[in-house]
Amino acid sequence: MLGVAGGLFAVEGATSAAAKASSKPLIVWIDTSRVAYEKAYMAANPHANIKWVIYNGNANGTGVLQSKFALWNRTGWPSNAPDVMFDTQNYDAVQLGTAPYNDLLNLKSDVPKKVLNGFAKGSLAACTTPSGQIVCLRNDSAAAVLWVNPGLYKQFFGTAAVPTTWAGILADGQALNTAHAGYLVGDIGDAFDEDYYLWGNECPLDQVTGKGKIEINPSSSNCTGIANAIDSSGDMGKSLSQTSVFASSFNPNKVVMMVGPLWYGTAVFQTGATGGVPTGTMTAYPPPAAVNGAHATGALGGGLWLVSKHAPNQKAAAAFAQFMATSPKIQKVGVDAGLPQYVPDEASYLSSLGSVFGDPSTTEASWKTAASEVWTGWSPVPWSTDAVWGSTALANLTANPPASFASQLLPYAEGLANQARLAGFTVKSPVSAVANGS
Amino acid sequence: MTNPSATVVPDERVSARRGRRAAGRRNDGPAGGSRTAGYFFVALYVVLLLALGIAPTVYAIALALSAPGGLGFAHFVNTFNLFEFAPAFEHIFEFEGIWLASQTIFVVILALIVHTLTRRVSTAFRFVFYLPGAMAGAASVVVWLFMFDPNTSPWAFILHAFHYQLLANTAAPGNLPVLFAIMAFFTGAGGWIVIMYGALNNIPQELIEAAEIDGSGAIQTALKIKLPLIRKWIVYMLVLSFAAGSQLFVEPQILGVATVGEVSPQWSPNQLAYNLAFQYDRFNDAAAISVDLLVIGLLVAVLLVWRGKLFEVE
Repeated sequence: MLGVAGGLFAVEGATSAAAKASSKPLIVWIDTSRVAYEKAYMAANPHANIKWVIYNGNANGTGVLQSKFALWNRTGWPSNAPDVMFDTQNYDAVQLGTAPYNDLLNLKSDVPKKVLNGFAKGSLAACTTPSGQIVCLRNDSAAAVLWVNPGLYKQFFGTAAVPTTWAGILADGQALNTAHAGYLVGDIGDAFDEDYYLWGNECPLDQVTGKGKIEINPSSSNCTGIANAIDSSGDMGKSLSQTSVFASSFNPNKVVMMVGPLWYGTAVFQTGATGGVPTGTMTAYPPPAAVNGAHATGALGGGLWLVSKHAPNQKAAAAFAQFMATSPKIQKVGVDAGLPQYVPDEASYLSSLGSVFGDPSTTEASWKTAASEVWTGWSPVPWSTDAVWGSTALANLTANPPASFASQLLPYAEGLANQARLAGFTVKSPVSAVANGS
Repeated sequence: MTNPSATVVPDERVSARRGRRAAGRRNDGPAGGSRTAGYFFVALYVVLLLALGIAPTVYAIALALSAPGGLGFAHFVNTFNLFEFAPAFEHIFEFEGIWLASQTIFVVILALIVHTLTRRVSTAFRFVFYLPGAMAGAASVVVWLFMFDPNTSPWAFILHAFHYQLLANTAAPGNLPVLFAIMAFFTGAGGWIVIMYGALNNIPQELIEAAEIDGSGAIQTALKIKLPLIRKWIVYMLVLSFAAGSQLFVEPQILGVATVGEVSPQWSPNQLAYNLAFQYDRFNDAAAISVDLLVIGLLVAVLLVWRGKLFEVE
């Protein structure tokens, strides 16, 4: 702990010394959700010479960083190019840190080994290039847990234990479909639902097996197992919401349970906000076991801190990124909505969650469990798996009546394979339509 | 590309020719001072055209043709073999088919109807028709997003009639060409109605009166007299609209972001080019697709100009 604190002061000192030494401010790009970080940072370092720029966080498929970097690599990097960036897309770091971009700083030389080792196991996977460079720092975990409204659950299911399997969740959904129509056990209406149903069930549709090689197997029983379970439950369009969880017509007070990332707790259920659930309502339970029995879960979002290789003061930029990703002044409740991935910050983060969620000890334990169970077989790739789900499956699953989930696996896999080929990957698959293209 | 002055109605052209003939060779242009001013203004335009029109086109062609061993069609072959290539072109051809057909029919019919109304009433109608066109590009897409979302649309009952409960239902992949055609129609139709009305106003009143004296009814006059006389304007509208439509980008891009990816980021050829250039750093392949679009636009323009006898002087 002492070592962390010492490092922390050194970081803050380095940043302000760098700021004083040169008149050029450190340029930091953040998204709107990270404005709280800016405020927390400026409160901790009121004299820091930093220019904060708000951009879209390189949101799903918009490729703001890719487009700017590609142009700057042709025309030269301007003086107002960002030094440090917050990025909401997990696949960006490896793409921007390797050819043809090669634009990110290898943090191995600028961030102490002890700090890098402090990140949760596997959490820097999206930051590690095939050649072993660390090109980003993970901000927070976005592992999926099972969010439960214990009040509603008790009302409908009495003293029965909260489900620990997908089958259990879907069976509870069936009970609600007839007896309590309108109440929900999950969501099928968003472009990122495959992150829970497929990723969380170890369905191998996004498994990078080597540089430029990907394996896509929609015929795996891990994929068909969950798909058939969903189809035979008949929950889609009933207790599995076809309305997006971000739509204005979505009512979080109807959610009995829902698999979703840690940050759903505040963002989707809008705990304490108008139209949301009252403070202390939702409790996180461990993610359901995969249909193959494995303890696995998916993830959605969470952020990365990237440092530009073209930053004029690389040391100060790296120190800043380290501060943002590891300092308890930033990685605390009220600033960061997800669980810090820097392990030394986790305990104080969890203990200060306090009354935001119901049953703090269960919620804390479940968050930790989920963060360690994210399946690593769903690799960071330079295309959006969510966008492909959105353009192939979403319309069919939200139709009335919905198409079967199982029938979406092949078109989705074909869409992923096409994106992979567009990105120059070689696709391996036992399904010929996926391997050879449709 | 198209010179609108070449499409004046016959009567005007005849008088212009007569005027020119009368002027003779001694005085075949305006006075020296205004000629200099003319060159000056044209020069300004030529500079801009070279810098912002010709140079980027030449650059794109050069990028597209630069192959590993010198010049070649490697990037055209590359992109042609992409799985997204054929669907992207199918999408815009379907979109253009729906849009150009409906725009041509409605614009011509509405212009002909408006032309028969009294001046005061027709002015009001033309203004109303033009209004949606004032909101173009990204702004109109955002408004249409609300219109197409059954949860926010004032016309939700129409969407419900199609069993659409969610934006995801309205924006289903099969519907996209129709949605974009609707957006493009309301953005562009009003302006074209105003232009067609102007063309109809150029028809000499004597001609229409003569037709009426010969016993031609309103519909017959519209179809047999007015329509043939504005035919070139219709061709002109098709040429410009086709070129604009084949470059469809903003609408699918924004709808894709709004629905978190329900519209593929490679839905239209222009999007595919953008995606290749800025997601995968494949500028040469992107340039090849741009050149494909240029060639298609030129071919269609040449075909329409030739078949529509746009530049012909009878």
